[in-house]
Amino acid sequence: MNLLTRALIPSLVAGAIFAQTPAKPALANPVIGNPAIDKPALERFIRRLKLVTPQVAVKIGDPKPSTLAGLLQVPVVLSFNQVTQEMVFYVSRDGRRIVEGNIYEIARNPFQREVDIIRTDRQPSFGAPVGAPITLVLFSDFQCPQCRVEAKSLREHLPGEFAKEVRIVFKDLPLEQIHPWSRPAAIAGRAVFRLAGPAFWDYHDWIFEHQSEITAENFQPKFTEWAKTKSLDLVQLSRVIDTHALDAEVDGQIAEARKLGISSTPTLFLNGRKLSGSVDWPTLSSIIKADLGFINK
Amino acid sequence: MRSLWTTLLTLGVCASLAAQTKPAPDKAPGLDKAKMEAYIRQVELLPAQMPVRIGEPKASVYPGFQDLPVEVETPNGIYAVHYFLSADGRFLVKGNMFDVTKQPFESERKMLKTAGSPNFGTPGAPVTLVVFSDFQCPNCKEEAKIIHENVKNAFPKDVWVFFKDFPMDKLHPWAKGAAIAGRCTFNIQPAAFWDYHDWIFEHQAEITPENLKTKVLGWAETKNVDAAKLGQCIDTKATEKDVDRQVMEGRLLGVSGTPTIFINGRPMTGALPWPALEQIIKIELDYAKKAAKDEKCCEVTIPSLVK
Repeated sequence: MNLLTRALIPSLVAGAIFAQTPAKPALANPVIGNPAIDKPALERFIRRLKLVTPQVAVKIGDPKPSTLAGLLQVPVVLSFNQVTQEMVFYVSRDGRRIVEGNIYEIARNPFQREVDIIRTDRQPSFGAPVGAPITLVLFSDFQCPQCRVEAKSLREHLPGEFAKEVRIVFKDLPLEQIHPWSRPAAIAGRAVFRLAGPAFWDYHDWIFEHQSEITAENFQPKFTEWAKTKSLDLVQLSRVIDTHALDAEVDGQIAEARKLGISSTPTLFLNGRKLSGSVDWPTLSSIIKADLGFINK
Repeated sequence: MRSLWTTLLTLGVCASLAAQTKPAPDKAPGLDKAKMEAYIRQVELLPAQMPVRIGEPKASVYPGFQDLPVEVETPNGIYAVHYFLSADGRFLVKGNMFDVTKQPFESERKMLKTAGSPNFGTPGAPVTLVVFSDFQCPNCKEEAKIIHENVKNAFPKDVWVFFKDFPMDKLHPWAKGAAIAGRCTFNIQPAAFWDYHDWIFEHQAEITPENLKTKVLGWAETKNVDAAKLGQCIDTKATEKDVDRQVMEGRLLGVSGTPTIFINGRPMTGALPWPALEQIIKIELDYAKKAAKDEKCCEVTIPSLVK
């Protein structure tokens, strides 16, 4: 797929932009003097460079020191229709030069930044136990058709082929702007996970299987019906959902996704390596094998 | 960012088989090439059967960074990938560095030689499209149609289009012959080039290495192009050097497949649908307008009664 075809749909511009990888959190390395960064000029340059259409708002943040060859780190936020994405550009002190791309610290895992951002504790998971050589984090949306395809493929193939090597962690990224029942579905899933742990995966498989029949209106009755068949405590479930504590949990996942520079589902992170869109099983399987090879070296 | 590996798998382009093999010296002072190779293999997910050559780090125009050229040998040919290495050797940057005070694709613009190339549109227009194309490549045929059908209508004054040859003769046996004949036509009768261009794409499916010359001469007769001159030019391969020069220029610019279009220097590979191309042209025009306003912002003039 051409990066650009996606860039031209403004709400997805974010998805077309390279993930920026700060090498390391900024150290106490005070900025000497006033960095001469001309924000409007930088904005114009970035708009043109990344083909950001005028509908998309660009906000250039304040420069902060970085460890990379004396460059400053400048946060840039793109937003369109309540979708926002954060990026980091490295800018020289005189504001003249910018670095755009991925930055790797050679002594570390190339995808350490992503690994550090993604929280995997207390999230629904299956497959190999904690400490498995590969952690595959899946950002998904129950109302997204490609997520259904990806979920089915993972559920089918992983346990048989990489039972000991790969642990799957499920993260919610409901795209509410386009999928009206994705957030209630994410919250219900988290409620099931809190009360009945492994039943989450029953819920996950059920909801994807019935995706086409569910609407914003019938989601609640259908969910209740399903919960009954699993003998889940309905009173407890609705109490957990009504506290709104899970809303905050889902928002936390969305914020994490934003930091990772992702705005589309499904997105997989294989030991931190980002894989966007539906990845078919032969491709994913070959990437897993390649990564196992790197780990064993 | 998509890894090089997935890009290689999915690009809808005619991949180049052209190989430029340069033996690289074994070791650079201070750079552990084996370690660097292993790291890059992991980042790009390059399987062991694809040889990776780490070149010599060279001074770059950006203070504090060296240029690190890397070549990856794939079944489709050799891909040149550039990295930047921080002076302390700690950081590897995959991407680009830009001088904000200049055009983002200034270096590409400087390297693109458009003088003497077939062109249409508005001379001196704010947006130039330089198309590297191969007459035997199906995606090039599609892109040529998109450009020809839309550019003149949508941007009658703002775009200048140039044609460059990038025949991939290992993949397309008559592509180079067609490029040579195209240049011959352009030299003999410049105005007829675009006729030739449209005609050859239209008849792409019928042309073979054997019938190329006959068909081209047949076309020339219907268009009143001097067929005797054209036939001689084709036979002596008089324009082969021009074609080779374009290919070399393309390679230096990182062209590895066709079509590749440079839009004010910005390289875009693969068939680009019109809505995408149109949007990029608009962004370039918009930028040109704003930049022009900026230059005037700080002008100091003395008021005068008479201009």
